[in-house]
Amino acid sequence: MRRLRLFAVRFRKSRLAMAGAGVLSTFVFIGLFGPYLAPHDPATMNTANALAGPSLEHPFGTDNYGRDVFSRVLAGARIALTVAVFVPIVSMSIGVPVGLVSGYFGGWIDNVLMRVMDSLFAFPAILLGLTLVAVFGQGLRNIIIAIGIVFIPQFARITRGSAASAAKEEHVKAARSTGASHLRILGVHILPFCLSAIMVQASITAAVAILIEASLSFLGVGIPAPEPSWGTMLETAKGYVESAWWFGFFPGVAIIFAVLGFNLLGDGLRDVLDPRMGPSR
Amino acid sequence: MTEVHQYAIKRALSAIPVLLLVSFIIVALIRLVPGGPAVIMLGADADPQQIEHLRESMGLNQPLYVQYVEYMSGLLRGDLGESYMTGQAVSAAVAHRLPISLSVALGGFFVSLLIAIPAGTISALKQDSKSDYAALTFGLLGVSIPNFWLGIMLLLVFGVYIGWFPVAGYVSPLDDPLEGIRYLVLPSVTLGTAMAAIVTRMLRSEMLEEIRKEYSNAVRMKGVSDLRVLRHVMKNAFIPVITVIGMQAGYLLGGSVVIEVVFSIPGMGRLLIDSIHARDYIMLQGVVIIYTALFILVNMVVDITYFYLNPKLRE
Repeated sequence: MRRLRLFAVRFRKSRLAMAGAGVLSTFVFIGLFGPYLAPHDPATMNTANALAGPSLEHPFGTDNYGRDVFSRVLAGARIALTVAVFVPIVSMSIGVPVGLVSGYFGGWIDNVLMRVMDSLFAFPAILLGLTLVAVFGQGLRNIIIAIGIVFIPQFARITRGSAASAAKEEHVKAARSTGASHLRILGVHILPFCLSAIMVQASITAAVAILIEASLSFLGVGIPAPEPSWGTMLETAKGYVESAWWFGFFPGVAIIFAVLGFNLLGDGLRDVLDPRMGPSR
Repeated sequence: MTEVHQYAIKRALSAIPVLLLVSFIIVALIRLVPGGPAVIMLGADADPQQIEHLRESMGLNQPLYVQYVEYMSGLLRGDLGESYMTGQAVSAAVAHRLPISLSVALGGFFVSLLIAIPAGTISALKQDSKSDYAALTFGLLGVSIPNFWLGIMLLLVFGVYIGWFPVAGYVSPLDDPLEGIRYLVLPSVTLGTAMAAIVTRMLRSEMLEEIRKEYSNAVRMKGVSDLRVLRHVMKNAFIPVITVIGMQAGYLLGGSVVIEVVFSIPGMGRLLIDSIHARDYIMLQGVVIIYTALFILVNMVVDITYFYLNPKLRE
């Protein structure tokens, strides 16, 4: 409890963390309530009013089918939010146990597990994502699983590092001598020690996950149209950039906003949780 | 034989199992396509005999390990199979397009260092100044901007509105250096921005750490000029930065896929995306394996360079 309060105090003092939290709460709010805030139905077409520039009626203009870009950008926040929440969960659910076991037991188990992680790490992220989606198909669920797999090794490595140093602590040795099971030691003594590093990684992963989802959708292998994913919107908008800049401009700004929020939070958390590492500025 | 040679050999040997494992994963993954690649390529309502024929010609009827061994022995002979769609040899297609992708990646690499080295240095030397804040903002924004969006916007401003650079296409700098570079400028800037941001941040924090160390003060007090102190600081700060540069250089390869689509560059990334859309699994498999091998190779070179530059590791 005391640690939690200390965390809250430090968090409020960190300008980076607070800025990130501010941006992200806006993003989460739009992600949850975007459809109710939208002035128009994001799917309603009106070809008579296609590619109309920004106006009071359509602040971000309209797209090639006359749909309101502002409403579609708001609706896209929900997709991005889903990706940002679930990708780290997928990666963590495998990466964290692997890292815990690897760091705690060491020896040949550690060697084998880390070699497997290395080979997963040997793929450039976007390429692995592309291949997985090419094999298992498009759609939000597959995208989340594919990007989630990409980030398993990062979580495994970071957890392993913290777990290995935690395993050397006196209280862990003491717990062991009293006959506590490995599972109990891992859960009660080692995992809490790793949480701060995992939280920082989760925040950074959320940022990159949004970028990769947008990239895959932009390449036409992510979330298929007519879903208002920001990347999918940009894929179409690319063809109209000369005649309708707003169509491509605003979805991109939305991506930057969301990604920046998670990056700020990640930087801030790093400062708050690990003063030894020193502020990044 | 020096330690560096020994390390280089050891490092090269350790890349081999990773390469084997990774290529096996790729070959196995492609065969995991729901329904099997042959059915997907021909369509679900294709003639079963035709499907069987294709399965046979692709060797899909054999056990996985046999397929893998045959594929890898082909790879060693430079034979990656033939595209199912065009009949073109995969190795020929890759050989034709790889230099194009490499030129884009190299362009991105140069641009990123061209931005990051001065930005990181100035930012560290003038901590908390306006230029420091500008560099910090760049460091944060650069990793948050999707590169394809940046590419589209640069295209719009510098290609369409101002008209300094061509909007799409590719001319090899080897055929026509001036025109080739004109075509490469926007893609390189687009690709290099994210890496520039990451290297700027890293260089800044490493330099700050070096400046705070005792030796730089001691040397300065001995009357050594600031410029020479800076040289020492930079040299030490650069060692850890090299690893980051190397890792990012590998990611430039992945990033070039997106950039090639934005700027309609006929490189290997474009080939990859086309083969995904066409469900051309043999082409896809070959291209992904080549990309990954390159990535592993770049990481190997970086590790060896790092070892060479870091005397502490050599002791």
